[in-house]
Amino acid sequence: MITNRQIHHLGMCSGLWFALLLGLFGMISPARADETTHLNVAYKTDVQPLLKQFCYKCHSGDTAEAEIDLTAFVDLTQIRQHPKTWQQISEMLTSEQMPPQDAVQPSTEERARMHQWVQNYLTMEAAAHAGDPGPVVLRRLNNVEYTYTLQDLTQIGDLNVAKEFPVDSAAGEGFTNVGNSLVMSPSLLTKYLDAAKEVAAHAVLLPEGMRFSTYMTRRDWVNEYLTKIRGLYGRYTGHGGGSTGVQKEPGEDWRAYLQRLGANRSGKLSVERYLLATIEDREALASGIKTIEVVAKERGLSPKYLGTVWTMLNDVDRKSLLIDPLRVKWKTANSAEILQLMELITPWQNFLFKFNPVGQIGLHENIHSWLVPVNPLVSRHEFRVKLPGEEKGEISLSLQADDAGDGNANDDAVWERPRFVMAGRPDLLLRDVDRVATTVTQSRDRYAAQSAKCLAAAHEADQSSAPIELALLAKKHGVDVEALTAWLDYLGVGNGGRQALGTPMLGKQESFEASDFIKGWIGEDGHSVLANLSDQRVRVPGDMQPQSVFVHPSATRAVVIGWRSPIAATIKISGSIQHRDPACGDKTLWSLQRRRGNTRQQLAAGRSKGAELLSVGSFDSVVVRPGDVIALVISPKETQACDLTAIDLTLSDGKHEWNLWKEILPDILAGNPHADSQGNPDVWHFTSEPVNASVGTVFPVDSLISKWQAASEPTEKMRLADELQRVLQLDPATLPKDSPEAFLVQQFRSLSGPFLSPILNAAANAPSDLPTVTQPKWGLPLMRFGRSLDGRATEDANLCVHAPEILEVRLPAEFVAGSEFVTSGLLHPEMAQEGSVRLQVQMTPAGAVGPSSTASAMLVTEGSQTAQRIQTAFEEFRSLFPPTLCYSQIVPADETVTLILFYREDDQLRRLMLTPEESAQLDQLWQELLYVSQEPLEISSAFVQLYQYATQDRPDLMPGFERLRKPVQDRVDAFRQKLIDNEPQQLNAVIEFAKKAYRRPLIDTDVAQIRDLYASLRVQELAHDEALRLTLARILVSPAFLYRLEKPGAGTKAGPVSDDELANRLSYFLWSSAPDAELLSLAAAGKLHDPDVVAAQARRMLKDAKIRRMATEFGCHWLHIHDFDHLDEKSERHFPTFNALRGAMYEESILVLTDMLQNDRSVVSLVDGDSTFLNEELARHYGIPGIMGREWRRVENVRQYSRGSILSLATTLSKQSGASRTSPILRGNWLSEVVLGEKLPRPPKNVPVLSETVPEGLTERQLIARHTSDRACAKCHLRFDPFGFALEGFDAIGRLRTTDAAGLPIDTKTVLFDGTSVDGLADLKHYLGTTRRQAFVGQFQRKILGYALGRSVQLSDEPLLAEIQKQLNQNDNHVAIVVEAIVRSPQFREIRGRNRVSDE
Amino acid sequence: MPQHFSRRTFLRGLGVSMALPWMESLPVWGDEISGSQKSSEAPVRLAVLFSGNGYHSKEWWAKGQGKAMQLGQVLAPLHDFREKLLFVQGLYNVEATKGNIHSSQTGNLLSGAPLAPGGEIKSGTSVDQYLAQTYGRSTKVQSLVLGCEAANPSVHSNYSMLYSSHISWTTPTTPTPLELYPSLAFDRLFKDEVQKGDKSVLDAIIADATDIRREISISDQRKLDEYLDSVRDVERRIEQAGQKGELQGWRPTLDKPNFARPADGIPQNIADHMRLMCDILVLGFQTDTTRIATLKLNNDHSALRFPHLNVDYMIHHLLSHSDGEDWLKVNRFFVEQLGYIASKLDAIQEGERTLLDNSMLMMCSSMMSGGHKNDELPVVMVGGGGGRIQGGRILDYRKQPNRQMCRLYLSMMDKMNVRPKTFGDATEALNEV
Repeated sequence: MITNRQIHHLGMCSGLWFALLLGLFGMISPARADETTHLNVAYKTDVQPLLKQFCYKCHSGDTAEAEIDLTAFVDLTQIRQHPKTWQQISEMLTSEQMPPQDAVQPSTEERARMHQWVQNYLTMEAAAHAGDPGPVVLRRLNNVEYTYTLQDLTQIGDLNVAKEFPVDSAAGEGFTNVGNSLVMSPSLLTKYLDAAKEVAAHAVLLPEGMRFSTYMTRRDWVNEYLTKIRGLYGRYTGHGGGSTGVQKEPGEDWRAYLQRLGANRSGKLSVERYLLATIEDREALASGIKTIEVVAKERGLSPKYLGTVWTMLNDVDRKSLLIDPLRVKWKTANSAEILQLMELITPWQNFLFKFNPVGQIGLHENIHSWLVPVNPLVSRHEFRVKLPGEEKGEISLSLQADDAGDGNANDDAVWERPRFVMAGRPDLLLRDVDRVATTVTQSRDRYAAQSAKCLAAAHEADQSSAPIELALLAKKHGVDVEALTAWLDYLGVGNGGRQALGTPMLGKQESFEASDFIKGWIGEDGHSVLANLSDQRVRVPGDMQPQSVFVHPSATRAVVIGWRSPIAATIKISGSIQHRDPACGDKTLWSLQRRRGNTRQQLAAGRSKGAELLSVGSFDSVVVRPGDVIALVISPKETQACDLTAIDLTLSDGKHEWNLWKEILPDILAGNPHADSQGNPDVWHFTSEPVNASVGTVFPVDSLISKWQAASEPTEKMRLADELQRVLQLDPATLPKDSPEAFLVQQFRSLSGPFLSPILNAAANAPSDLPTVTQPKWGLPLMRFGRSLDGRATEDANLCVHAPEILEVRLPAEFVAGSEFVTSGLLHPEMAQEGSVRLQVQMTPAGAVGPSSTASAMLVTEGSQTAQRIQTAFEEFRSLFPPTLCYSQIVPADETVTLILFYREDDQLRRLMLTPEESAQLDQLWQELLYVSQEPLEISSAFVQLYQYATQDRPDLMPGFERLRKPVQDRVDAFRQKLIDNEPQQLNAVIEFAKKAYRRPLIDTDVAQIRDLYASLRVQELAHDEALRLTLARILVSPAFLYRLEKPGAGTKAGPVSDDELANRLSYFLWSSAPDAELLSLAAAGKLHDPDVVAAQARRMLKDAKIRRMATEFGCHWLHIHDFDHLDEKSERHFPTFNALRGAMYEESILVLTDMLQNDRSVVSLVDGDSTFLNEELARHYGIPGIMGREWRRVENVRQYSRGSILSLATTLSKQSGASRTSPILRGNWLSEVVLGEKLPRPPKNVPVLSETVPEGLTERQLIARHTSDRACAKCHLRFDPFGFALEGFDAIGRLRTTDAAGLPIDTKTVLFDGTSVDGLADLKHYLGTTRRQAFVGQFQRKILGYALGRSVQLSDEPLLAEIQKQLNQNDNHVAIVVEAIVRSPQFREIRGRNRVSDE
Repeated sequence: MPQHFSRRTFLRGLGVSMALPWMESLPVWGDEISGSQKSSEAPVRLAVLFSGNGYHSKEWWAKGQGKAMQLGQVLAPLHDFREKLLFVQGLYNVEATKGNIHSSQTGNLLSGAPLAPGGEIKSGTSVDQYLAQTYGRSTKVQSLVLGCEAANPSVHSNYSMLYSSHISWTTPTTPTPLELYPSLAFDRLFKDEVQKGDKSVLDAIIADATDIRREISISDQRKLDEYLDSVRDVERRIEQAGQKGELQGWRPTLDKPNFARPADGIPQNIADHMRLMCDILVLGFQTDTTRIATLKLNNDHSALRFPHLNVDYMIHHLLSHSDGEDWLKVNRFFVEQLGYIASKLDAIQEGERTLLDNSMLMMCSSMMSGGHKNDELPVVMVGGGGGRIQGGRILDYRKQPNRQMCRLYLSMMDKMNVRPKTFGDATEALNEV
């Protein structure tokens, strides 16, 4: 186009301008020279006169229409300077837009003549410049290319640092990869810098270099490694033998995730799966039909281990104590018997191995690993069997001895002093059970029968001021002295002694946590009583409010705050407790008691509730005598940690008041016991007693005995005493559970209680030479004890057996419940030197004899041959069947005090399962995990903290910590040094990265500049890590990364681009990203410029999954549906489903285009095809039946549903519609311009206004018809509206319809501009696929060429396009033809010379 | 063109790193901008608001003057500012009438330059960016270029839709990228961008680019200069950081933002989005972080819908081809944005005048109405231009010769003491303004 200004400008042109023009057009061959002469002559004679006649009227001079002054074209010389103008003229002639309809028209012959000449001229002009690379302006990577390039460079699939960048604009043929429209600005540059820093933050520095991670924090990187290592572990462990099945939830805290993972201890060896394989594939393996490898692969097993197991099971010559039974059983086992086989393995696994707490490894001298072999060969086997606490009926024990599976020669064993042990009473020998039980039962019955009388005697003693003669008193009331003594003790009568108050706390605490206003007493177990004397609130931890008293029990001892009464009175008591550290601590238990003599009356009791302030009750009339104690007891619930408890206690007799806080206020440290404020000495006691102390007796509240004590009326007292006696004689089982009476009876009958313990003590210590019973009710006959089977004497209480022997022992539950059965087993020292016996104690329900388990400790004589033989068998078993293969939890998150951050124990896995490659990979991952997590530094800081924390209440840990101090520090030093040593390697890795980022080999200055920047940043005191990341960022904002730089040759002549540049052209064309290794290596080898090589590469690249990017960047841009998944142009009121569906709609289009490119389909199938891609969601939208599920699939035969063309995609149909209704104009215009590449005249100057709503009774089509009847409009609308009318069978979001929203019938019959009648999509598809096939294919290749070159298609490209069209016609229009022809073309492979500036 | 290019290269040799606008007759920046403004006087600010697709064909009008001025329904939201308002009729860009479609009418609105068709990109430096590169250099941010609708990445009828989406042009070939994210616009004004080592990185990439520049073609060099200019600009900003307090005399009424950084992302509701952008624009002026701003409320050929106005059945562009009540409603909603900015600025006292008195707010579109008619453009201005614009008037150039929009731009620049001899296709200012 010649504008006024340009013509004006030409007039002023300097010689330089002409020189340039000559340079451009000076390459015409002699043959062509003839042609130009001929054209020039034809112009003068045939064309110019016609122009004069029909065109000059409007197109001349300064006021020329459309600024085209045809009079300026004197001859071919001027014409050749403006080929674009003549292309325009050609279009006008083709479309018959010119001359305008109201002007005089040339004859058909004249028009044809003119047109032919223009065509001839353009063909000549195109040929003259064919292959010109054209003006391709330096291209910045557009946002998509930038994003894909970064994703491919970093291998982070979802990296999208450009998401808030300004949208790229389109130019050239309508794509966003054209240099002209890819601008840069300061604000954009700042965004690039920020984005580069963000990418750099994804770099993980490794000993040998770096890699990129999805994550940006060390914590997440560590998690990433843990996941990878666990993945490798999971390959052969756990239930499936595969993955742990535990996935990190999105957003889940990684610690929580690790906890969850840890809970699933999945390092397990699943032997059963291997055994199953050997059974099910036994024949195939034995006959060689299948190899071990094949079976392993089929079943996801480790071939290595499967081979080991197979060999072991088939090795009949080997003899092994543990494995022989397995081998024998396996030989005939079918797959249903797998559990029986496992019975021969699992118990032994449990027995030959044990697990240490991982957290203790290293801290304790003897703990070195998690899984440790256990040596069950012992010369002495200790048993401690806890018996159930239920005191009813009988308990049955089975004492078993077997021959350990190797015959019973020499198998004599001894159960040494079998006995029942319980705190607070003498041990009861098994031998004596029957005798003691009989004695005690008889005494108890006698005491019960005398209880009312004893109470009467006790009352008398209590009332008497004189000392009591026990024997006389007993005689007087007709009771046994022992019984009376027991009752007096129980009631606290007459023993005269003062109430013992536990152990006083003696340590003075002058200050606490550096606060000298906190003082108090501390006991040896760390339990304490403290007073905060200040007005400050202190967190210690635990929250000490001002002016209060606190107690803190220890794990084993309760704190007792006691007030010893200096008076005899009836007093009031009130008080409170409050847990002050509920966030950390457990609950505490409290109890308020009155203690007198040996007795305790519990007034109230309970447990703390969070931080709630709890009243311990308010008691109005508690009778106290001098010496009685009111005690507030605070004991821990389970753990002692953080049980700081505030307490308050007030007592009053009406005249005086004792308040704990006020009483100790002046100085808590004045003494323990502490005087009261009235000068009475030793009133307040700060003591402790064992948790659950059974010292003395607590009278149940409201029990008969309490009532009896309280009663003053003699008859009432007598009645209560009788009632009590009756109750004591009842069967305890008949009393309501938890009633005060049940409790009372329990006290009475308790073997460690005040009544029976003296009897039990006496009986248990009595000599056993009492009458022997051959068949006793309980236990074993006395004759079994004290001698071996051959009659030799041994210790009296020992029990000798010869294996195998099972002894059933019945025991009275009343006497042994809750106790431990304790004994040791050993071989008989004389008779069993080479023996081997397994002893076991089992608790069995009475009468039932349980089967003995196969695995348990074996008694052998140390150093014997038997011992050695068994030892070997154990080792073999252990090496074959470790219960776990690795510690897959890695992080011992459930350990409280540990210095282990990550624990690696996978030697079994490596030994049994992994290939050398897998082992190496595992080593690598572990090495990187420890490096990236900075494990030595973490350990070091944890060490300091843990040391202080742990040794506070675990002094026993001190030596462990001390031992570790130096190794920890040494590792820190070594690690720090390693970090420094790795710096150069990491910088080298950044330089390596630059090579990939710049997408070409580096030159010396590149490297120097990168190194210089790093060095200068270090000089600015940036740490290595920061400096390195900034250097990385610098690479990513460098023009070499951000732009697609190409170095042209000198002068103006076009020449080939370098191989590297060609690799880039190819990869950005097809993949929108950097070239891959194959392209780069071909480029480096100098092979890529060979057109055959380029073409082969293009074909390879088309097959790659990355071709999807071309589908979106070329295909979707071309069809104007790019980013359709974000389209926000639909009325939510009219189309509520649209927003949810647009992603699926877009996916279909992308898949259709991807499929065409990747599978080399016909270009024509795009308009006239019969298949598409669907999932259930979209199929439902389209009304296509039989497509279920979310996954996408290619569906054939969709023509019947009116699909199978880009015209019938939901995307194009929706995009070319209004917000609430269809627009035949938009659809028609799109089809004409975008799909067929028709050039339309411009719209008239002032477009008439449409009415806002469709008038009643008119369809959209009728409305438009009315609009376009305007003559100015009609000339265009007639060209494209009919296309839109034919598509009216689809609504504004692409659904089929037969009526519009108002219910009016849809009419899809229409006549196209060329006179063709069509009805609906089917006809339109056919029309495009046949009549307009060339136009469509022409448009397609024009667009793809424009996309490939990053510029508008120009006249000199026409020969190439013609050639491609020819090839397509001959090859069924396969798309790869186009791609290959383009990459082979000079346009694609060459660049204009450095000094060539522009064309027109 | 080669001449243009060599001139540019020559200028670079002198160390001037600024691209020249399209007309070579422009002075080198700094020639005439020293001006007479007293250092104690508040600076004049300029904001241009754009909305695409024109306005209702019958309701964009004003009659009378001063308090007695009557406004058409589209302009009703400006009722309170009648006395500070200038209604300008009859100006147009002759270059924009040549394509006669959306994409050929917007990209040169603020420059009057011809637009290159055929998939090429070329317009002219827009008046706001011309001012940014001269007048704007004394503030932290030379200019704010804001938008509420993403650019349209396609080519329509032989013109890139890039033209429909950009009124601001840094150079004739560089449309200024729009900031759509309120949070990022806020950051651009107030984020402390200087981080340790940044300067070294920028130095390093300048060195890279300089090396590369020697080896690429002349046309590519020109493209790379966009990059170099950007890097230098960021560098300059880093160097200037913290110097704001050294201003002599006049001080802005606010020295840091008085509201929090907006949330990340783009607000779902277009009204919220526009409101936030208006707030940021006002804040930029009030803190004197920038003095030049453009706010492109939507694209020409816009696809916005307005559910909050109960108008979601038609996108903006298609609505513009009707002329009914809903179109009016939408027009008014856009003009309300101008009214909102004016009312906020008018509430900020700067010495004897309000910030509105010290500003020029111009609102315009690239066509008069939805029918693409653009031989008269809708223009309304609010604000006193530093006491140099008398409001409450109607300027009607419809029957007069020389109706170039660029004459108005010369007048506006004059109020800011920037007085190039010519701008775009105009050689003299409008005396009446």
